[in-house]
Amino acid sequence: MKILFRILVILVVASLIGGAIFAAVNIAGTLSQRSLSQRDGRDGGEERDGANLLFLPFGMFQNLVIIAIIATFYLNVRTGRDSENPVNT
Amino acid sequence: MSKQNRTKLLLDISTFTAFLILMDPRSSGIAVHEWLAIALSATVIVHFLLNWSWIAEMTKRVFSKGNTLNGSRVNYILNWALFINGILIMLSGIMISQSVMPSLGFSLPENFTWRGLHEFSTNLSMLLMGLHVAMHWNWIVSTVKLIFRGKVMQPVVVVGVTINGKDIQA
Repeated sequence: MKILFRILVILVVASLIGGAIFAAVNIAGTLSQRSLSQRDGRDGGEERDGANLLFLPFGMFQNLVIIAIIATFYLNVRTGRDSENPVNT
Repeated sequence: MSKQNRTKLLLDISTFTAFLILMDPRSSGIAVHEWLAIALSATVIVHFLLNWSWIAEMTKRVFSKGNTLNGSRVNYILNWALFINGILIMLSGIMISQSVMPSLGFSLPENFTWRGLHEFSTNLSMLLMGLHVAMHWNWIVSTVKLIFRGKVMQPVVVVGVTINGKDIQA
């Protein structure tokens, strides 16, 4: 019962945030008149439906490297800051 | 090490691997990309449930007066940013869905605002995920160490001999 309640809380919070985002985007789209729903063609840069599993490991590795760079950068900054202010650690 | 920590780590590794696959829709294909994203949202809910006590405790402490939890406060705000960004990714993904929504019988018009938001939020999620991993790096390292230490120390050899009718173990 407690878990169901927690799931409900998560879903309600997510729905509220999602609803707010949806409303904000729709209002912004209406105001700026930038809805391009009548376009029947597609841009060349879009994803196609076909999978290319051969390149999936490379794509995953590329994303992993990007995340690792961000994480390493943050850890270095934090380590440097902590060594400068040892009282705050 | 507790069973819950092991479960948390396995779930987090699975979620992170799925996240890496999701970040490359051109290789995985749109159908896999969309269905995997829906599965990932379920694992994220489990991730929240497993860390519920931390979330509840931090919510209390962050909003209590006179606290000095600067690092924890940043972590808390970052987690909320990641959550809101995840909702934006899911919502914009649903709005531009080419596989899941049509298969459920919904036909949504092409909307380039949602497409732009989807691309922006996925790029942002890389940054937020990197920071999220970095903030929990100590926990990840210590839990992985505990798992491997447990594996190394697990095979306890019990040698038993019987001398003069008494069992002696070493």
